[in-house]
Amino acid sequence: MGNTVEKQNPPKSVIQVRGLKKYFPVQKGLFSKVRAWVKAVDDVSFEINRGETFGLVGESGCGKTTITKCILLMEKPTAGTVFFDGHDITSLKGDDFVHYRRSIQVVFQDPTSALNPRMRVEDIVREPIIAHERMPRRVTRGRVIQVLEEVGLSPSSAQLFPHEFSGGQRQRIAIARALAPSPACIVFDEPVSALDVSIRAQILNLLCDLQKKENLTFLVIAHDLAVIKHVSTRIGVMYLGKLVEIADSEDLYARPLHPYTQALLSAALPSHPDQKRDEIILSGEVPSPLNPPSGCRFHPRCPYAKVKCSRIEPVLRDAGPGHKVACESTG
Amino acid sequence: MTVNNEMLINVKDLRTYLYTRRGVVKAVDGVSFYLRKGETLGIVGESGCGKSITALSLLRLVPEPAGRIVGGQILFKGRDLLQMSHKEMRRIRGAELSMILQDPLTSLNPAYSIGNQIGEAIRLHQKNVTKKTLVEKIIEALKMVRIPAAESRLGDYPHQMSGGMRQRVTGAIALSCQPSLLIADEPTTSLDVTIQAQYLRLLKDLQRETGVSLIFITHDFGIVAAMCDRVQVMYAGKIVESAKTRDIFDRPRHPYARALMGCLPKIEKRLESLTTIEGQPPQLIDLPGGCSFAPRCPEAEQVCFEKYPEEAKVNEEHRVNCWHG
Repeated sequence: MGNTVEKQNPPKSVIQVRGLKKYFPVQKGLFSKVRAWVKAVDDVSFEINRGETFGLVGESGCGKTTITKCILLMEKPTAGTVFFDGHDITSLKGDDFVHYRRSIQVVFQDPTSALNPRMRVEDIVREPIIAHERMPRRVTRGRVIQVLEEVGLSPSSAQLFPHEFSGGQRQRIAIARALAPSPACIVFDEPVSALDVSIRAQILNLLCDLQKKENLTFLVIAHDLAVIKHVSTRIGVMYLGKLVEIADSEDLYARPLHPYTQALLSAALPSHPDQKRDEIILSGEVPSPLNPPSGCRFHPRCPYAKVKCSRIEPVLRDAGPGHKVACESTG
Repeated sequence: MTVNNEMLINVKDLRTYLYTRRGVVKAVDGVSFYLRKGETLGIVGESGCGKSITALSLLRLVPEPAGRIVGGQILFKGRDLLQMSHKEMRRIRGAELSMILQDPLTSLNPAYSIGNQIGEAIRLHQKNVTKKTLVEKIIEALKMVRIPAAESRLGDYPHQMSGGMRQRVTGAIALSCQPSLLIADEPTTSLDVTIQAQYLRLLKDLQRETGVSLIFITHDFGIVAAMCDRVQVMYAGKIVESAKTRDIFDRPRHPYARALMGCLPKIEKRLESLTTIEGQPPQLIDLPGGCSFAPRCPEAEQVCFEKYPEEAKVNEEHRVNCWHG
């Protein structure tokens, strides 16, 4: 796959998600019948362009991690497809599958549990390289040291174990491991939420620098709006398994259209005590995806809900250049 | 909010050390502060700076035998908590001073219903409560934290509730005996953004209703901006700067406070790159003399490594411990 396509005219979008659905069955016992479905991701479509950072933001349980698991082929989608460089990844087999796995890498939230405590940093970082191609240590060593330096670690750290590093440095190791096989796209699942405040800034700066230097494509997931805003070029807002709004980062913050996006922005903490905020405090909590509300899934909590909102399921529609919103009432 | 000048708690030179196999950890090393009635104080710092141990020291709940309060005074309504017997302390803890912890899933007991757990706090501090009034008081506590259909939820167990609701239950337990001081240790860290906003609003409303004083322990300056009247920044077991919230946002004097604010991404404007603080927070074992922040400080000079700076007064409420402050 990969090589032949890139030499031809590469498509603008690296990843295209089309009508993705992922339902998880709920069973009583091990062999009993499926009683219900948790609709973790329900008909989501978006694309990630080459060289951009796409941010997915939403509260816990909204399905953002499930989407990335489908993209990483850690979960099989119930319906819908994901295209990578124009190829449908859900039907990949053999060599193509291996190639795909190599061109997309992931960095998880908690670096302590993501790194094997019994392996030296060199072995951790070279593992994604040798997983695809058997190579002696002397061949991979150069690449290992290169990526370690790229993330700001000294070459001598290759011989140490993860416990000898601080939280921020461990996250750097995890990023180095993701960079090692020269992927086209890296997925970051809450990359800084397990880190201390002063360390967060270092990692966020590193992400921005890496992207500029390497022209990589990033998919970043976070619940912190300020973090997402800082790193992303485009942002998708999710609520209960649905994508409710997509827009360019600046546009989304300047002109949020969906009531949920507005509430999410107003719930963000102020950066100065004098900052005036028109607080929209949502009542209630996110309903269960087991039995989502009819129509617009946000309507029971929406301050602008109309009667039709409980009947019509809104679809994403254009609301300006590059701005899409799924709401019947506003925009 | 009614802040009068009556002093509620006055902490003087508090020292809490943890005795570990690797050495003495000076988790709280000479901390002094005060809190007036109805006031909200924020204690900000990164993990391991001693802010939680400070809170536990106020309640005398430092994990023994490793931890010990080795010096200082905690004057609460004029009486020194450190001189009290265990029995007296037990009477005050939960009734006068109470605490909300970070994660309700671990601070609530999964094996008891929430009604039972709220009732426990009330029974401990109010003798001769009949069963009927106890149930009334539990319902009242649940209503106070705005739990819908409180009457029908007494028998619910923590796992039947969402994170935000669970944290409200811990709030109900903490406030069930009308304490005069509530310490909230990162109360919203485990909550979602919109639920966090709900919970902070709730705490503010409760403070207005009951006049309780709040101590907010957090690493997030956003919470300070939203909630606190005054704030103090902790680093390596010491308070390095304390001021009115507005003053610290407008004119932070300590390089650490400045850096900590600069490294937060802002929603309103996109910054090219964030300020970073080089290096790591220090290990609190065998701290060298001088200012503990000096090794990471861009403005450090020779004197910073040699001597710990005295407290300098910027104005009546604004104090800073820095040679450059």
